[in-house]
Amino acid sequence: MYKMTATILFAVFAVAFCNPEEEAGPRLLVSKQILNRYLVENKDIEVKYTLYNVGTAAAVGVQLVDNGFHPEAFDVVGGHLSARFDRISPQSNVSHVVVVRPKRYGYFNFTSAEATYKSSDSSVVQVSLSSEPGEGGIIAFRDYDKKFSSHSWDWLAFTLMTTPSLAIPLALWYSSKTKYEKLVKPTKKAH
Amino acid sequence: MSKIFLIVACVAFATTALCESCTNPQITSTSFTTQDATIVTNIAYISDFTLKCGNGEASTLYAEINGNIVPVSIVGENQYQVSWTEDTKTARSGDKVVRIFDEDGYAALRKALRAGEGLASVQSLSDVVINHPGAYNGPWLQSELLATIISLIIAYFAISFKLKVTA
Repeated sequence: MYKMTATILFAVFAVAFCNPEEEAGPRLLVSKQILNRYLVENKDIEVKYTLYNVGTAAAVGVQLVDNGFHPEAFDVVGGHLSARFDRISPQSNVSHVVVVRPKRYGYFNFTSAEATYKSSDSSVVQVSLSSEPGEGGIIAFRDYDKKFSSHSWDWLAFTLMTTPSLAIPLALWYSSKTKYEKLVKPTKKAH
Repeated sequence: MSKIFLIVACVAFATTALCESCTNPQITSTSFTTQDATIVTNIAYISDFTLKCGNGEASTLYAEINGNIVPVSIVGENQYQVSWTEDTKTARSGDKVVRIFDEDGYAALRKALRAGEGLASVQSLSDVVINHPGAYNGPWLQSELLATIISLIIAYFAISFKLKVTA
């Protein structure tokens, strides 16, 4: 009777403590961040991918791919959208930065990037999806310029347009002043 | 049997001896830095380089960025990318030198770190230079402010002249 309960309890504990075996191995968490204050058409958008290995073993043959920037809608001006890391040690992180330029304005949904990796002692390929920055509005360049540029040409045009209203009265006054002085002088001489 | 073992051992030894670190490294690089700091929160520095070794070896590379050692990402055949970001307020313009190390260099760096020596004492495989010409942070003087100042000066002269004339 006691032997039976003892074996049952032993079996229960054996299963309960089985868990640590599942968590050994690499585990990558990927964060995808857009480091922009404003998203403007034809201007840089910086994307930073950070891969954190929170597992207990090194991740080997890590391939990071981002298919969310279609070449029809974005130009890649710095970096590459797919990168490979030979090895990411456990409890460490690596980062990868790409700069793209949108060709069109409008709402755009920034989707996840994908990272595939293996453990050094197994051939099972693990997949990790990055965080999704979500939907962003890419402003048309015309609207951005209207709000943020320094408008120096506009100010120059303004000064050119206001100069007549200042210069014409000044010129009229000056011409009448000189005429008056010319008239006054002969009478003084006559004295 | 022992003869075969001896031959195999010799061959193994020879192949490991051939697996040396990169000899005669040649680097060609292109770099990119963001130059408009008004729309981004961090400046990105990206260097794209190809490394050609004399003995055709392409081992894992590591880079030293701002005192930290990071792995270099592989983006193509012999093509590598080193990238990092810095806050716009603390970023300085000028040349940034990134030192590239191979496996042996990385081991030497770790040893130097453990011994407490500086990382500058370890010889790098090669260096990559990223030139940051400085980022545009907005105009120094707002054009509206300049327009206001000029119009106030003109108004001052006009009013003082008028008072002088009518007095």
